[in-house]
Amino acid sequence: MNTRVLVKEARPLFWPWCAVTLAGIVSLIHSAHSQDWIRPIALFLGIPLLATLPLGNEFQSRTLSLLLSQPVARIKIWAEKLFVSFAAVASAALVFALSPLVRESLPDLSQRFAAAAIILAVVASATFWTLLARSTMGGIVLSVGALLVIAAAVNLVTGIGGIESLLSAHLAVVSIGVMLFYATLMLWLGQRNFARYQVKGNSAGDDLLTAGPDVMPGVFSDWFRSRPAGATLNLIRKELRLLRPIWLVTFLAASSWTCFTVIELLRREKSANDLGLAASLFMGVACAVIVAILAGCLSLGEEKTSGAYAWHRTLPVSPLRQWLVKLFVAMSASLICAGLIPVLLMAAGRHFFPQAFVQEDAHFRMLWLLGMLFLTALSFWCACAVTGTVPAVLWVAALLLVFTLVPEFGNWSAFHLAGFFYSKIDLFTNFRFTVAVSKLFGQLGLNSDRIGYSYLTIFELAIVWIPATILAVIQTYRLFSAPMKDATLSVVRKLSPLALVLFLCSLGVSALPMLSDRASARLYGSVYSIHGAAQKLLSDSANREAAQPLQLTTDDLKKASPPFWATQPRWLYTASITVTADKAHPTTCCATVRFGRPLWNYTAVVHLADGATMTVWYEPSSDEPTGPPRLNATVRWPNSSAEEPFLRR
Amino acid sequence: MNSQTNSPVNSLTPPIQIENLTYAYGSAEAVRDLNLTVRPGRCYGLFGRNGAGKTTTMRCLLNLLRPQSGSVRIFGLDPAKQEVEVKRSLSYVPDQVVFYPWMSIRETLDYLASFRPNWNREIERELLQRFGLDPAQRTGSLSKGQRTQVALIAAVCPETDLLVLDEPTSGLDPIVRREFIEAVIGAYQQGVPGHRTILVSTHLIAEFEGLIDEFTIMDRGHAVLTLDADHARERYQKIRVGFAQSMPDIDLRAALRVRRDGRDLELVVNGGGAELLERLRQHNPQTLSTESLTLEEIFVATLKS
Repeated sequence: MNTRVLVKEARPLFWPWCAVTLAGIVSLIHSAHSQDWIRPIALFLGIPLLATLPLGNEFQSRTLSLLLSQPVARIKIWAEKLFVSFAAVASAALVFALSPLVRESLPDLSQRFAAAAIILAVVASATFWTLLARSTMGGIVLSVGALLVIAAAVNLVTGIGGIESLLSAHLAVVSIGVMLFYATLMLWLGQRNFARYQVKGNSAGDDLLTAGPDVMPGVFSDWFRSRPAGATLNLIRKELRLLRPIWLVTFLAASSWTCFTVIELLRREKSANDLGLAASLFMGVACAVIVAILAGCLSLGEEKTSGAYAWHRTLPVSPLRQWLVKLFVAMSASLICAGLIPVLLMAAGRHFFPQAFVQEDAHFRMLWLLGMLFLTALSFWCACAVTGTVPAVLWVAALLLVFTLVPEFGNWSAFHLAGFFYSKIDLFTNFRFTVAVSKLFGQLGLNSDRIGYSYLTIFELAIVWIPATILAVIQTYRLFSAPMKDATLSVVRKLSPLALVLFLCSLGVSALPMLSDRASARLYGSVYSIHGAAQKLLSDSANREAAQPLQLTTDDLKKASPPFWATQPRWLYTASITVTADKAHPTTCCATVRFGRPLWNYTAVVHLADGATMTVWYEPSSDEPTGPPRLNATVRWPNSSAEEPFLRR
Repeated sequence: MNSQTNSPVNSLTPPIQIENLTYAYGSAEAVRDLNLTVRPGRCYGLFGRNGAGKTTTMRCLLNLLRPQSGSVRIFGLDPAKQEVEVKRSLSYVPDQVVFYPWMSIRETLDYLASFRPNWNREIERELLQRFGLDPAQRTGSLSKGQRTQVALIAAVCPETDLLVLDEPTSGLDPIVRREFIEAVIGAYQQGVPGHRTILVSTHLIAEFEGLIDEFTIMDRGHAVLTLDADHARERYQKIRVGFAQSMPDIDLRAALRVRRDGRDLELVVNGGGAELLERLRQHNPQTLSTESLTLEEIFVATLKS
């Protein structure tokens, strides 16, 4: 094979291959919850993308006529394309195969062979489906759709026969057989169709899914037809029509998922294996993610590829109106197809098979809907920033990596910067400020128990993502309305404010709870110092019997201070502390001897220099008579009669 | 036919005004320091070879590209700031016409009509008939020339004050091309005489010979010549002279191009033709004739010189 030709064929695959492989590497070395989205996208979108791109790119760049007019046998062109796509897919899949998660989810060797056969089938069928669809995205949709139909059919047939779950070792062999037959058939069909292919299309965007024959009944297709008046409605109709592949994918995915799930659930009565159900759930999630991404970038990506975007820019419609219509339709499509339909299907599944589906709470449903909208917003950003659907999808992968890795970096930086900062400056010299800070971030529900470096939780990530997503949506308007300039450097430049916002937000989300922890530690340290000093003072029986309250001195505090609170806050040294023994209950029943010595009940009143009064008392548990005693602390601010608790342990 | 009522500015405002326009794609300069003013009611030609900067200039006018320096004004308005007003006042036919392939011609025209306050259905019907287009046909199945025809109909029917045409006749067959230039462009300008302006970029200059009032020849992003068409024909002349004996020694430095064929001489002059003629007459030529250059010949002579 000619090296120059192979390089030409491999070139458009380079960045997609990098993205898919990087996703594999990330999932290999970094298996945090926040990276859970990587595998479904990489497998369900990345592998078919690598398989369809060598031919799809010719349609997108309108170079197929030029290619076929060269004095090279078509069979040779087909073989070169197939070789390149197979090499790209195999090398990318190998990285995923090394992941421990694959070993866990596919423990049997035959199951792994079944997975390899599915990947082989995707590569082998890509030429046929791409030629039929006349576009990369169409090729992906049709090849994934065909696989889903085959999988559903296999499941249906074996389900009726009462055989074990699809992913059991026995059925894996059947799956391998079916997939190899399918791959051979599609390879032959693809080669045959490529050899006979006639270049009929006139332009990019003239593909089967977008411009194919109308399959809707007349009443509906009439509604989607443009009218001589009503510009905004016409824009909406046009957007809905451009998103036709989304409706097809949703329909296909929803029906396959329903079919899969029902068969699996019926089979569960004979087998306790949950793998099939898990697989169908995984498939549903992957399809929803793909739909959410396509909803954001398909319309604008296809318009930019075909040139219709530039043409629209010459019409007397404000960019704001065009942008709003696009964003509204994309978000609505995502909300319905990737958000509501899966939630409704799950609800229906739970209604009919309550034992099989876990009752997910409203919080999860909301998070799911927001997650899908978030993906669509990012995808829309990419479609505004670059030209074409395929580049936009690739940039979505890059953007998702930025949205995941930058917050983790912010979290890591917060931990290290906070340690350095606190060692240099003592922020908590003021009592009121310390109490306020210790309470504030706990109330926000952030992770205030962050002891060392840990991953951000989904909730924290959501908080970090919101400002950056809002900024991204604002940026899309500027990108949409600004004159076209499609360069990688320009996209990276546009991306940097988002990365900065993400970094600052994650830094804040991580650093502020650490600040809160530090304030709490300072308060607890002072309370425990008072407690220690009071216990020491009361251990002398003469002191316990004294009629007047006892005064604690700075020396007492210093001696009682636990070793990990080496420095005492300034407010404590200038305070006047009086301790009164609880004569009615000198000690409590269960804690009379703790750490080898008795613990005494008391009340300590701390008059601070700024007028506030802190009360610390040690008392028997009121709600649990046999439980341990409790150390309490309240504060009363000047000009206030209310006691405000700030410690109860 | 009531476009005057919707005209954004008065009749004295130049439909197009470009001052020191510069635009570069990376390090490749497409347009440099271009100055151009189109007066109302004129048919203005923008001539140049491939890559001369014509399409870039037009894209800057339409705010598809933002000038890196200099300014462009359409009817005194800034296309970047008053985009909708500007685009309401003009129609554009791009060099590569794109429509949604699933739409029929009828639907495409309806779709475009919905953005326009005025849409002349009569002209639409007439032009569809003249071009022999079936309104029910999908645009995805149209040939390149047919798509251009639909784009031309869509540009003429809104009856805007300015028509911007980027290589409008590329892809059209000779019959339709003539039809388009004579019927469509002519009818468009005659709709409101002296008011409607056309900016046309082309390298098929001969096709627009009779229509162009004024033109600019661009080369490598620069405007090398801007002239009124009639004035250009006066200035640029071809002189043919034949001598009975051997050719005398004559100072021909004023000529743009000189071609000698035995005792015959063919000269192209840019101004100063009368003086040169006088000098030639002094040598008693056997034959002496002058003729005006066509715009295409002027274009070639300018770029070759």
